[in-house]
Amino acid sequence: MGLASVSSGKILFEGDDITKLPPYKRSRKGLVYVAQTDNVFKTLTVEENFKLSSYDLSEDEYKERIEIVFTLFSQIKDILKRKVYQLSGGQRQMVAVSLALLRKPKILLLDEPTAQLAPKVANEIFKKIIEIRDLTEVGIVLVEQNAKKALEIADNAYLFTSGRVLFKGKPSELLSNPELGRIFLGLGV
Amino acid sequence: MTVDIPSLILAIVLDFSVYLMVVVSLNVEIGLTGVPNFGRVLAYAGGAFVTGAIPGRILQLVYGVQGDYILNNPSVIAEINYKLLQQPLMALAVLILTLILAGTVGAALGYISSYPALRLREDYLGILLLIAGTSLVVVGITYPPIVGGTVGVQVPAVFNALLGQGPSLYYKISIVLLSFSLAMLILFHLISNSPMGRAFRAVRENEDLVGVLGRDIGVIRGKAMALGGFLAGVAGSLYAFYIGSVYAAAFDNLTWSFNPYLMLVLGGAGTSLGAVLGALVYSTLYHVIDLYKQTLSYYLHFDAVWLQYMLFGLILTLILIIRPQGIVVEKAKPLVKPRSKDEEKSTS
Amino acid sequence: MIDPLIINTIVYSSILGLSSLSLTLTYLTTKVPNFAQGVFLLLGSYVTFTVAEALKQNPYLSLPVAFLLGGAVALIQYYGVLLPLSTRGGSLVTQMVATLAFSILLYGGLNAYASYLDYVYNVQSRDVTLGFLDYNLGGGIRAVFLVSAVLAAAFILSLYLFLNKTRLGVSVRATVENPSLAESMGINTKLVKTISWFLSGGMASAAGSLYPLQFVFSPTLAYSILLSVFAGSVLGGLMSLFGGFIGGFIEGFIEKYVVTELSIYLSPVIGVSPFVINQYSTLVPLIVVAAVLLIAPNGIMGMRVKR
Repeated sequence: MGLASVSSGKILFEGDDITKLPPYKRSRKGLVYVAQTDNVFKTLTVEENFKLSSYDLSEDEYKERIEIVFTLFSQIKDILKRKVYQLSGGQRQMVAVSLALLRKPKILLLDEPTAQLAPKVANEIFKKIIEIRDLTEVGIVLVEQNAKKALEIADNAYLFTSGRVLFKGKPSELLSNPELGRIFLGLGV
Repeated sequence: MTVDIPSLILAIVLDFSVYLMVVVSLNVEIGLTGVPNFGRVLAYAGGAFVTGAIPGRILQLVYGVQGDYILNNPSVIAEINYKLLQQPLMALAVLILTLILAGTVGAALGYISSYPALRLREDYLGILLLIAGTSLVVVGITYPPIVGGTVGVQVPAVFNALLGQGPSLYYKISIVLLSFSLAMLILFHLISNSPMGRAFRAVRENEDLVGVLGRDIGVIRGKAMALGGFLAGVAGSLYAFYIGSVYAAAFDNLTWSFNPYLMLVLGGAGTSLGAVLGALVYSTLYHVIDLYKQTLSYYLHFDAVWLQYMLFGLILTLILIIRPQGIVVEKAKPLVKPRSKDEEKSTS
Repeated sequence: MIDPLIINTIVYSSILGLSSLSLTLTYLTTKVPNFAQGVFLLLGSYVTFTVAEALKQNPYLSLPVAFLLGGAVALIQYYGVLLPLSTRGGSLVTQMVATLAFSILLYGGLNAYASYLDYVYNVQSRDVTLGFLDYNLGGGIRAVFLVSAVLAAAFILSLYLFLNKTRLGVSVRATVENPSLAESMGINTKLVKTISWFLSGGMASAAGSLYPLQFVFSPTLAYSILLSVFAGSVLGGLMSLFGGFIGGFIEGFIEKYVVTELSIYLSPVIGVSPFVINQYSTLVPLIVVAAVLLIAPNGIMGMRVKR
């Protein structure tokens, strides 16, 4: 995303080298990041957050995107005027993901979205991620500590260690590889 | 135009040694312990005010001189000096006692300033110390009984009595001041390498860790600021004796808090050599420009002293961008004394 | 006929309010307290000396000039000094020292300019006031009284509209609250910071341009008023821009009005002349800051914020 510094290598997005691009330009190009925490403006209302996220969209584009958000998260309609610091953890994550969706992302970077959430809520989030993928055709890069569940819903899997790719392929392959599964993902322990 | 080199060097040395003492006192707080003390003038003025207020009054009592110390200060001091010149031992005693008192007052002021240091983040702390710095000076200006308010007081001519009147007096004074600053440098070096110095540096590096390891950060900071205050108090006292008078309004933030801070940053905080370099650069820059003041002012169409400010500010700005640690970079010192080979063998 | 004390208080508090506001602005967006804030006031004052005395024009023409010039110098401070420093990983204290170093550079430059004004135009700018060049509105009131109040109100109103009704303004609020989130939302936080520095320098200089029209001016103002500016910001709570203005205004009010009234009451009680008691107004910033940090560390505005 550009919020951390690059020590080596390049980042290519749709063929363009974006290694030196500042974060806000990457966001405008369609690479949108949802942080694990601190991913909403707490002192603003949900609606103000949405307006902020979409301020470079036209009226029509905004209407179009907000419909998608309402389809995915129907209860957001009821909390539009509430200040975010009054919302629950699960609701805040909903708002955070909605903010990202409003930006018409081509790729959505989700950073441990279920961390700090109760298992039942976490399952809801995973279901939502699948819904988002089906509804908007956006590419999702999911970083998750709940590896098993994440691998169950993913199309492709990548295993990084110390900045190097150790494994890339189908999730089923990773899940069925006992060595990697045990060492890195805590599976079967 | 012939340049009077000896006078130039003397002027530089005098300023240099005065500033060096202030910079070393700051080095203990900023360099070792990481306390951003933008209000150094507090302890410094404290030492100077003690010198303006106490020794004169005591000598007045001892010699039975008539008159109000503040209102008739010139004549009182004149009489004191007359008697003092014939009693160098008395002058020495007064000097030593005043220095000790000034140092103590400076230490107390420094220690008091450390109280908020525990609870405040660096930006708030810097602001508070900045504002607190001139508080004593304001009282000194407004309340005449201390150091004569807006008129000021003269100080007993201790140096004249000890070193003798005559053309070489200021050369001798410069040697005295240099010796004191050297002593402070040695003291700094000893502190830096002592367990206490290591504690200081630990607080600078990672205060949370220090707390976790069971040591009271407040106590450590308090010691550092008391030490820095002590050195500053002594420096302020020496300065007052050297100048021969105390004029409260002259102790402003710019001259005694900001410039010394910047000198330290320029030279490199944390090292003795850094302190020396910073004070040296400043004093040399000032006096060289002062030497050519007439010519420079003529061509610049403004008073050349401002050129010195601009150059100093520019040098500092550039240094901070290019080499923020200063000219002399502090070598990383181990916080724990490494065990010798024999000790390791016996424990494993 | 308005009490001169009230006039002094309003003018001073308006100037101080705007100055604390400008300090809080750069503090909130870039996290650095600007030690050069007082020198920006100085800059504005010297613009007035130039316009009113050297060029013999309407002194209020200096307002827009001071604003633009102050903004430009602030941009130099941000782009030339602080931004390079922070990209190289300069710590907070190092950045504070950098603002101090820049202030010395600027202070020297402004004093050199004042000296130049003296040489060439024979303009005195030490311990003088330009009140005599002001316009008389009758009843002992001079124009600066109205202008300072109106200027403060105008800046506050514009700022409010800007922050709440414009895209850029909302971006400023977002950047203040959470810079990395703002970037993720496509907000150019560098632009936001640049604009806030420009506004900060501009406002402080504009405020400073009014100072010599009411008060006796001296270059040491740069560092003496700095304490009051900081105290005002701390009093308002370094958390909201309006808090900055309110804190600065109240600080000014205490320093002028409260101290003077207090001196009249205290004088017979402790047997010291009111004039002497008034001299202690320089201790007000310390008392205010100490009180705030002890009682309500988040300042006036911070007391009602719940997160």
